Amino acid sequence: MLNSLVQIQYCYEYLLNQIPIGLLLYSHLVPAFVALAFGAFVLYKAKNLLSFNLFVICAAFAIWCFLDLASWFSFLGSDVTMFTWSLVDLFGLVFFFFSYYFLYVFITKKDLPLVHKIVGMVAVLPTVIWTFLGMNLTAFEGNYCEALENEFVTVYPYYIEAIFIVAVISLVVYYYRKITDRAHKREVLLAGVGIGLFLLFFFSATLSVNLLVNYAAVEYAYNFEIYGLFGMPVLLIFLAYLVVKYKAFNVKLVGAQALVVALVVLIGAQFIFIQNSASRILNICTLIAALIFGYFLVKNVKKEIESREKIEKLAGDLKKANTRLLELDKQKSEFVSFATHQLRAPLTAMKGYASLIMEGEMGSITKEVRESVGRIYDSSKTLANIVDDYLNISRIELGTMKYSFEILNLKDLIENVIGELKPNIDRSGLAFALSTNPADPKERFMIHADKDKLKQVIANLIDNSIKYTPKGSLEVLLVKSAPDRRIVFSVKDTGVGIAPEVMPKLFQKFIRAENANKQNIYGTGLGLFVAKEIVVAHKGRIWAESDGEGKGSTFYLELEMAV
Amino acid sequence: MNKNPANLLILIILVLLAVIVYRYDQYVLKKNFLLNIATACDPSFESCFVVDCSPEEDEECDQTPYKKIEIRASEAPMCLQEHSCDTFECEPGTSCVASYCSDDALEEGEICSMPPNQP
Repeated sequence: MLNSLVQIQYCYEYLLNQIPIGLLLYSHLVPAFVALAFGAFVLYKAKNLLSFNLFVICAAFAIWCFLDLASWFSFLGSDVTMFTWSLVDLFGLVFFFFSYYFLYVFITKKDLPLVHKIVGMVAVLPTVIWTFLGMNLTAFEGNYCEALENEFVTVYPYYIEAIFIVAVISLVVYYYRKITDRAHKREVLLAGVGIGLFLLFFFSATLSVNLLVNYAAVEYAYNFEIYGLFGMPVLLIFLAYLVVKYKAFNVKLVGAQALVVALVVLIGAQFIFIQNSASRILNICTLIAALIFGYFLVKNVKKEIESREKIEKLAGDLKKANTRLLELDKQKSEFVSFATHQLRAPLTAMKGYASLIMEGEMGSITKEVRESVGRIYDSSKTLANIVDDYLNISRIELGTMKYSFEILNLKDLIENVIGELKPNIDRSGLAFALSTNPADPKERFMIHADKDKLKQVIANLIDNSIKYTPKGSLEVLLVKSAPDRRIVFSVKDTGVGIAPEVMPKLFQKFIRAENANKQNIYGTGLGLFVAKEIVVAHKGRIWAESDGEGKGSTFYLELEMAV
Repeated sequence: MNKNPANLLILIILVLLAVIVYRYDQYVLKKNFLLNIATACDPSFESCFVVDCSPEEDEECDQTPYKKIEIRASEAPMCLQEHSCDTFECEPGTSCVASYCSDDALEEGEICSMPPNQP
């Protein structure tokens, strides 16, 4: 194909002796097209100042590659070579300037200050003027098929490029030290190293070529220039990493997408080298296969990412809803606390007056009235207990439950509770026994506890056993285990028992066994929950054991002995 | 994209376009540049340049005599760039300048091949 473009056969043969044409095409066209595609893709996905700057860098670099390649192809005609050669330095400076511009915007998220723009443009201006006037080239050297450069004029851009590199490094170092956010610091470092390497590759290659040409150190000095172009793929790798990892430029690029594009570009680039038809066909097949598999891979990965993003969004919504629910729960607890406080006062009055009437303090009453008032008293007492449970629950949930710890004898406390519950025990007709181990009546079971709260727990456990034991016996046992400094209180009954499936939920809020509902319709399912919370606050343990429904149950309360 | 960077880009594009268009006009359309080229020289009556090498030591040694031509590209015949002109003489009234070998004109790696009647 190139043969049809040859205008000067001498220069074509000269070039063939100098460097493989495939290498020239590969080193210039692949970075140029990849850079153009990347810059255009980023600009298409995110139209902002940053992507705009990146596109200018990529476009200027690609134009530089095309100009430089045309300069190499002097067989196209000396006029074409002179034209393209005269412009390369200018476009080089354009992407050096925009690299600095890009990095500044990337780091600070702000536009480049006007003074920086003016300084940059003033620095580039002499090259613009010299290029316009054609002062950078003196003639076309027909013997070597290359343009002759004006040494003074063509050295100037190297100084400016060096200054831009120093500016880029200073910018990165300054902001890297200044920025505190670790993620942004990492981004700055990656972008800075990428841009720095890109410019350094380019600068060092072109400078070396210039020195080698001036000192005639090697025969084909310009051959070294192509190595500078590999700085662009290095920059693109850094930028692609920033896009994939940090969603830089606000572009969501899936890692698989980047890999597939890179793979397709590499396979496509093979065409530059391939000489025979068989290899060309094989490469076409490979390229098509890579495109098809790549398409499905990217599609699947995108689908997975979309699902993941949906789940992440749902999780975020759930978290918000949960926070809202917690707030509502707190408000509910506050309301319940307020409402139950308001209920307690009239209940106390009802209970008090019913008691006074029954005891004859308000005058003599008939048996029927006594029975009726007795029911009022019992109902108000039940209601007061329910209100107390709700109050305790709301205190626990609001974290306002107050404990007043003291050293006390647990045996005395249990005897006190049994004394208060004696009328109920007598009324139930159950055989009742209290025993201790050691059995010595003088033995003391000292613990560190809130007397009223613990009394409530013990009363709850004994009262439950009375309520849920229609017939049989009730046995209260207090055991002291001196070696491990624990005291265990237990209440064993021959009552309705507990089904195995209910056992794990027994101490949860509002949980009541089905057989418990039949036995006692007034239960709230809060007593054991409150008891557990109180015992936990005492650093103790509460649990129940039962062989199943109808086989009785034993409730245990374990506390630490006081020192 | 705010207004300032767009203005800057428009300015840069305009400047670059001006440079490109003017250079294209000068180099490609008007071929307004100098061409340095070596062309055939007859040592029997011209003072020619010859590469300073020895065919016995270097296989690529080409000791074809040549003279140096500096000519405006617009006036140069294609055979000159192809190094295929049998004879080329600068025409009077053109920009063409032919350099023949002399002590002043010699560059590194060159020697002179003088006509027989010259010392």
